[in-house]
Amino acid sequence: MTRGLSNFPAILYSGLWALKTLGLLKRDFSNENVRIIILITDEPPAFMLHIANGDFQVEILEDIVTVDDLNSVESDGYISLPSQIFLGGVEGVLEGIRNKLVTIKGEALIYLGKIGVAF
Amino acid sequence: MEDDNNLSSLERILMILDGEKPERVASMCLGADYDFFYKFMNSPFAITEEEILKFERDRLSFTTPSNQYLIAKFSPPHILPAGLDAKIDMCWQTVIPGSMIKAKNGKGFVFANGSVEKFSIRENGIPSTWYIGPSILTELDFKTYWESEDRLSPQKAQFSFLSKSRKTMLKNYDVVVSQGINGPFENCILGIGPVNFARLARKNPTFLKKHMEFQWNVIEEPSLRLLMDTKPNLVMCGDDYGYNLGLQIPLKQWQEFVKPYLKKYVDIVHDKGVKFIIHTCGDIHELFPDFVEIGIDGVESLQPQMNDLEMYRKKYPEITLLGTIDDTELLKSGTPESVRREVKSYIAKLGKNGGYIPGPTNFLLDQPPENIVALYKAIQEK
Repeated sequence: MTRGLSNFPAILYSGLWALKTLGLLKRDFSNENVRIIILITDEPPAFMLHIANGDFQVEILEDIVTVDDLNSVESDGYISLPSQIFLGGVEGVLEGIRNKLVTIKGEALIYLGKIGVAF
Repeated sequence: MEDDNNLSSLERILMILDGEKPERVASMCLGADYDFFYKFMNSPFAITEEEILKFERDRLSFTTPSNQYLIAKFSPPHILPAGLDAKIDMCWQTVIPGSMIKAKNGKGFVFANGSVEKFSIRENGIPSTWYIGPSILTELDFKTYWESEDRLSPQKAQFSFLSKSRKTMLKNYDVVVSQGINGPFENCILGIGPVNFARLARKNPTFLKKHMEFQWNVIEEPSLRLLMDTKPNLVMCGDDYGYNLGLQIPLKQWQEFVKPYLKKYVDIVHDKGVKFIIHTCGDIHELFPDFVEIGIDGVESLQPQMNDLEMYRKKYPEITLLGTIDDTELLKSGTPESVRREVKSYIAKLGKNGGYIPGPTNFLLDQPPENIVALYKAIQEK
């Protein structure tokens, strides 16, 4: 579902798109079927990255607007963080974790790191 | 890593910028947008799995628009066995200093200079980023902006990767990475908008100068210092002054508000013994005498439909002309053969005595990859 994507979901989409275009999604995620949810707490709703078979989808989750909602959708992990932490890059996220501004479940951070090589 | 019996790209480019004539014309490419990358990867020229492994080992970057994977793919076979043998001698990498925040209305992101950019996905699934407007519009916006020094100031970490990236491209692929930041005009006008710029330039020039001085002190000077600490081979800064029919602002305003800061850019770079190139789109013929006066070494873009290139070559021999190969008609709608003919013709007209580094007049967008390969092959031909 790509129509109308903008802002934060579009940033993640562009990273996954670049990985797919180079064939890296197929090479590095070939045996995986991963669903990761990202909630930018001051820019809800959340969105889900679904990676499978060398392809991906980014889906807006209209009903997921707070951290408490994140467990209501089946996923392999989620991350919830304020926009300024997300936009601070790797260092920003690490600082956000130290300051307990980031909520993480499962392997969300590992997958975000894998996508991060595109930026 | 140089050609079999020729100069290295760095030697070749520095000779040209020094007014000497090397053994062949050098080539340049600003970079490529998502559309071109998609077309390229779906063409017979696509980067192979083996090459991707090598680029990963070399820690090249495939971020848009300074996509080093693409640039490296054009290498000759002695550098990259299945390279396209259509060598690019120089590319570009720009640092956007400071932190980005989300726009107040949720539409896009605000950069340190106040410009708002939107990330979106088009109907065809290809990403795009685009400037959508200024964020500093009211007196209160200016006040808030001037109180945000911490967010706007460059971080050392934003520049520290430049040195490694530049050295790898030069050592392993013989490509010079010219590096830079936005120029003073773009930083100002993208943040406050052309209407505000025009109004303040006429009615409150002191206020406009205060804003430009703030951006110089908080963003531009510290960024240039950090950039120069990385010991760049070459600096190219982007500052679009023109549009199709002339300058975006009157020459007198450019001289009053922009030129003093551009001169500071040039001076900081020259103080370290490094050449300074300005990238500026549009018809900019009125600015050449000022470019000479403040010591600019090269001017890049120079769309041929709106610039008298032969006149520039004759009248301003001290300035190297870069770009000049029309990216909107010739490279978009031409054929590899017509591209080759035009490129040879430009080299004959502009590069007989050096002072010329041809390349597409802007980032690669939606041109057929075969035309771009033809362009760089033609530049290499002796």
